[in-house]
Amino acid sequence: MRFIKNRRTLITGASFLFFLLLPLIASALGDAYLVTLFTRILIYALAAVSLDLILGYGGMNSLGHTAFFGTGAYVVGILAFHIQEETLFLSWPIELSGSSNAILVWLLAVLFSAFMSGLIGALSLRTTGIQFIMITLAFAQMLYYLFVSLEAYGGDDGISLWARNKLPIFDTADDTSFYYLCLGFLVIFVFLSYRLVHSHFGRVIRGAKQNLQRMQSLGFPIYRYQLVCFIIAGAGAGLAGALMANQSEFVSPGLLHWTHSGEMMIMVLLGGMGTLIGPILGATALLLLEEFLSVYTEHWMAFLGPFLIIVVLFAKRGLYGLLTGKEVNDE
Amino acid sequence: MMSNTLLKVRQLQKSFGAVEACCNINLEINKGEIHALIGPNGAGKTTLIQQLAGQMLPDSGSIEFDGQDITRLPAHKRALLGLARSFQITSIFGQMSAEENIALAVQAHMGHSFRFWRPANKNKKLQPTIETALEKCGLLERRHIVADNLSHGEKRQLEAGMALAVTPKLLMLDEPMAGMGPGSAVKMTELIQSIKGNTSILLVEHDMHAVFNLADRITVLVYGKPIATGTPEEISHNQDVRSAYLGEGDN
Amino acid sequence: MLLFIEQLFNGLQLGVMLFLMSAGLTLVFGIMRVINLAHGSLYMMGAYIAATVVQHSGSFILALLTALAATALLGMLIEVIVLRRLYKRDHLDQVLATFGLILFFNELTRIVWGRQPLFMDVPGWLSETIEIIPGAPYPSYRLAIISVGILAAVFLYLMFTRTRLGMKIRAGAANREMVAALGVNITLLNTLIFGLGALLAALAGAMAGPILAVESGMGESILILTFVVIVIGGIGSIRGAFIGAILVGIVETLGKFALPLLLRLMLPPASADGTGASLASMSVYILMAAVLIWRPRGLFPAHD
Repeated sequence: MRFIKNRRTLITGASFLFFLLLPLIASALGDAYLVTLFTRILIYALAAVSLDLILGYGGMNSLGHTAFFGTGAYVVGILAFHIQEETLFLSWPIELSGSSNAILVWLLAVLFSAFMSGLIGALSLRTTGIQFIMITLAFAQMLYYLFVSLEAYGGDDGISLWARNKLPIFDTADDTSFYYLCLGFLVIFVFLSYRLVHSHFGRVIRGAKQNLQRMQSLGFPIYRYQLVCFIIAGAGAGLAGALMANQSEFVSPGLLHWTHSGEMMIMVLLGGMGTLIGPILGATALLLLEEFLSVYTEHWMAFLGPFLIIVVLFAKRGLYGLLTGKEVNDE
Repeated sequence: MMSNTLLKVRQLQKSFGAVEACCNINLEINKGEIHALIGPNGAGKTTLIQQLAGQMLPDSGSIEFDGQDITRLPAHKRALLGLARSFQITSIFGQMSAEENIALAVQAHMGHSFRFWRPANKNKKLQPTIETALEKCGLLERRHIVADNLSHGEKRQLEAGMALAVTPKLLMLDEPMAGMGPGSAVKMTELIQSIKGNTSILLVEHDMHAVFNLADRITVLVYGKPIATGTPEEISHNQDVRSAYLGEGDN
Repeated sequence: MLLFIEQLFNGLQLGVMLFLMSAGLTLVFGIMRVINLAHGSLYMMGAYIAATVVQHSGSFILALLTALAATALLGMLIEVIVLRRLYKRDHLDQVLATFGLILFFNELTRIVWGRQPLFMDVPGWLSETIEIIPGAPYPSYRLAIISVGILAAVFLYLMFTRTRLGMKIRAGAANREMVAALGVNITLLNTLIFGLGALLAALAGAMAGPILAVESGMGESILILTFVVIVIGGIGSIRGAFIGAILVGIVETLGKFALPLLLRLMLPPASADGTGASLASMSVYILMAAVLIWRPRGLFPAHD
């Protein structure tokens, strides 16, 4: 028991230390691309942790998580677009212009993603099981087509940003600074999630995953709790999306494509569902695997597919489970 | 109101396609009594419980609980009014410890659980209630064991403990002794006896020995229809019951 | 008005395609409780196989039959190798494993057939147009699709209401324990049902070949519309699948055609077209949301 606990702390500490030192390793190796790659890893890790809140803890099998990721990115993209074009975002009933102020834009991205997940969640959570999976997927696809049809914002081609959003003092244009910013957000989000899953609220959410009917017969209006959890996860994905838009300085409907949701699910599964460190390991593993395989073959997906099936069938505990010897979900 | 009736079921009707699972059920449960519901398999006992608990809505008829019409009330609101149930198939949270299972039951009645920050297991306010319930159901020493790893009998005890933790007004026990060895069954009988008084109990059970020992009144249900209600004495001498049900049991 | 009728037929044509897809999928959901994202891959494989056989033999009928047989076999193979292991798992595992299948098949088609889409000619004897009502010519190939789709629906209807096997399957879709009670070899039945679903998907894919570009990933957009159909129709119900499919087909097609026109009455043309296009792309999902609010379990839920 004690040994497992120590191993968990060890894995968490080692991962944190690794991410903290990565820019130094990159500059020692003289490989600036590593910082860019690992910034993307951190951002996807944030999205994957938020997905695990509903997937691994809440038992809500959403196949539409990228909708909120994409929404967050588009908030950044659209507001930047109006600055670049020097047009108004809204001319009626009040005049609103675009913005490149990171604090304002990212806050709006989080709020708007939360709003969207509230809307989609309120409808989807009326169902359970297979229907819930299909409905979340369908709504995400609806947003995908919506952005494709928005010719004003580039339609299929999306929006290119001229620069990242700006923060006072902090230089977001510098890749290393931006990396640490993303790391900071990830650490904060994981800490908040840690408090969340161990709180009264978290206990209710975990209970709902294990036995929904029992929760109702105990007296919990479970729909409300699940919806709030869904919204929190959506907000987290929205923040990740806003960061992604800044990292790549580009947004397109491709961010909302459903295979993206699938990839986030793979990260959670690969790393270990129902843990907070697992999705981070999973995001790292998947993106590194992609990088690695695509060096050798352009058809790396033909290997990823069967690999995924094998992981699902035979290695469900994920990387975190393998490293700590911990069963999934026994927290 | 000095009424002694806690639960009043009037003309309850429920059918699935052509099958009538409940037809015209009238049932009254008094405060503080143990009321047993017996009948052959497929008599509609579980269907009735599901309608009382709100997991299933009746086609027609009414259910009144503690002077309030609850016929259309959702399940979780009924639970908060003091209507608790245990399940025929053990229904617990398998990946949580026994203590956490009980804690969830207590938490449900302590106002909303939109508390996001403080660790749930450090809440001092819930602790006395949780410990009392653990003691009542005999799992105080086993409180840290993950529920999936408890024995079958202990799981049934935990199930009852969750229903009891919040001192409900009416406790519906759906075959609490199913699949139990004789030792555990005795424990469960003692547990049921110990709650009698403050809490009314609707007991569905196949173990006739336990039913006739525990119950104040018995209702016999056959093919979705109650054919008799009375004290154990009356029921055991009732000619209809003997021919329709108890007689069959001898075969 | 003539244009409207033409669009209505286009909607009908999309509807029967969706029905072919959703009939198989809803049975697999209903009986095996398994969510199979790779159903769209079977549609894609059907299209690719048909396109290849047409290129080499020139016979559309031969291509169609080859595609049906080969895809049905492929479907059964997938059931035996992967899906069978997932019946007892939770839905999340099923989603992830079948997502793995999609990744594999999409890449497989790129390896075998390259990145360029294949184009398939409409068979010569169906390349004419027919006047459905005087003055409204309509491609006979699309009419053929509608007819085949309706024939398939009638065939399924007869199979499920008139044959013993069909009734067993239907009973199974409504109540899983039932099949076991009826004394059926469930393992074999599951494989056969999966094969039937694959066959119907291949039929849709092969017939879509001459209308759409045959390319990697073509199964996914129709898969998601199929999900919408099933959510609207109710899981496990063939009747629900049929009505949902026609409804979705018509709303999707007419929405794209009529919404911009309607909005032009109220807005300046440029913004009417833009808003209309956005609304049209969302219309079937809005329909789904409306059904969901009204009936969370779909129009014809088969289960309790």
